[in-house]
Amino acid sequence: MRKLAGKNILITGASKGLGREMALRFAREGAAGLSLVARHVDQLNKVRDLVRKMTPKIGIVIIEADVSKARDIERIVASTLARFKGRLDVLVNNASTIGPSPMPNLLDYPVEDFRNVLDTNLIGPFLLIKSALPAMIEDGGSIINVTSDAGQVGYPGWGAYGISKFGLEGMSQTWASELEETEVRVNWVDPGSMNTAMHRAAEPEEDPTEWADPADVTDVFVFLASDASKDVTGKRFQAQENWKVELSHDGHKDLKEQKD
Amino acid sequence: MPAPFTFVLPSELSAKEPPERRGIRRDQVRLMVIDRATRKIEHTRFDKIDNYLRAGDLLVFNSSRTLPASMRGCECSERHGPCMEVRLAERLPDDSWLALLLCEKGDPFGCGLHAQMQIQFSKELAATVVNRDARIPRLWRLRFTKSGAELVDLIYRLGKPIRYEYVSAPWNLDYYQTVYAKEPGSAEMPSAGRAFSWKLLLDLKRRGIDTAYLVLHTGLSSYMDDVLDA
Repeated sequence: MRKLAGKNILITGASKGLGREMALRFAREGAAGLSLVARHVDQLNKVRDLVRKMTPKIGIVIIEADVSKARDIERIVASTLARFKGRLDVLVNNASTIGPSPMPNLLDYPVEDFRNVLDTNLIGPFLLIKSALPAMIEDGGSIINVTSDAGQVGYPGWGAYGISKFGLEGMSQTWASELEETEVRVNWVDPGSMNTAMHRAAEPEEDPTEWADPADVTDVFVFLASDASKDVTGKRFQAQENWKVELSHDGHKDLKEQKD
Repeated sequence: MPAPFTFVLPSELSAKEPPERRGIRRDQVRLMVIDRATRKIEHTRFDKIDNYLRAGDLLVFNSSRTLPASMRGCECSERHGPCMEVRLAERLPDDSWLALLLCEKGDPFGCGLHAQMQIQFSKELAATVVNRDARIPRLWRLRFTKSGAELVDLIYRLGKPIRYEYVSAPWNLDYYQTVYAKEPGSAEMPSAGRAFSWKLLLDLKRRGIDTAYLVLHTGLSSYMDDVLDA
């Protein structure tokens, strides 16, 4: 039994890296429809061709868009829902930008670059969730935000990227709390170090062969997109550490209970 | 057809901007309640609507999403025909669209609109004017060069929300959506539900008030023609 049979799924940042691997994996798991969003349509078309070759019957929509632009967000959701007749089961906020490379320290961070990183990594997911939520609220759905360990630890030099991920983790907790009594669940995943173009640009002096292939960290995303996780919300997952759940959105309560 | 009633709306009472831009939440607008039995009228606030509902009541919402249905196009011909505002009104079952064509210069209907005219919106999108609508002669039937999600994508790239004269500024499309809008297709906002916020919807659900959603795409509220609009 394929785990995502019948699901309509929207993935941002789907042209390469983890987004591309999720698209291919979700198609293999039986997704009914994929809405793939990225800034570069040529690379998106290549992913679409691969998906179609593998699963010719899948419904697929390609959207060239920049999630840092509010106007593009409306277009992404409208085009997706026009294709999927108003129904969306899964939203994966995967697109993100590292900012200038090499990454400047905060003291040297140009304010325009700082804003752009927050627009892409934080405001974009906020607007996408807000805009896509109506398509999930009746029949339930899963929102998965892709975070990073830089969203929990203030590493020097990870500037706006880390701050945006701190914000994304906080926002995920708030969404999960506010939607707790609905069938829409919100979880966030730290995929760990991956050998992607973005990570290589961020740490050019490191050996990328020591990092995971993004294709090897997709299991947790399949789980969260599937009905197997229908009772799971408000949790942070680490993809490379046996999906260790670190914190729930009512984390203070959990910490207190552990302390007692 | 004579108007069923007449009234004067003082200009200061027109909704010139969205409530959020007047410093109140969308669910804090005024609400008038009429008791059908006693004819008693009460003035209250929309976020108190639960005072008038009971557990088991059903609210039905139109979840159609508003399109940026106003697009600028120019007749594509050797003589460089007129430019116009195209207001999309309704998508027909054969995937053509009814639209109001408003000439940019002079008489809005006086620039030689005709069947078979080609309208160019951008490098990627054009439309052919098929014929005049029989029911509402101010509307024309258009066939675009794209369809489905591809057409929706281009409408969102090129269009803006339809705006009437009393609206003070070109507000973003976001202000023309209900919070629960899903499938795109309305020329103008299905505005009866605009005042609902998610907080109010979840509060009502908690109180046992049921909700159901249907999709009914809205058309234009004005054809810029006093007789047709009456």
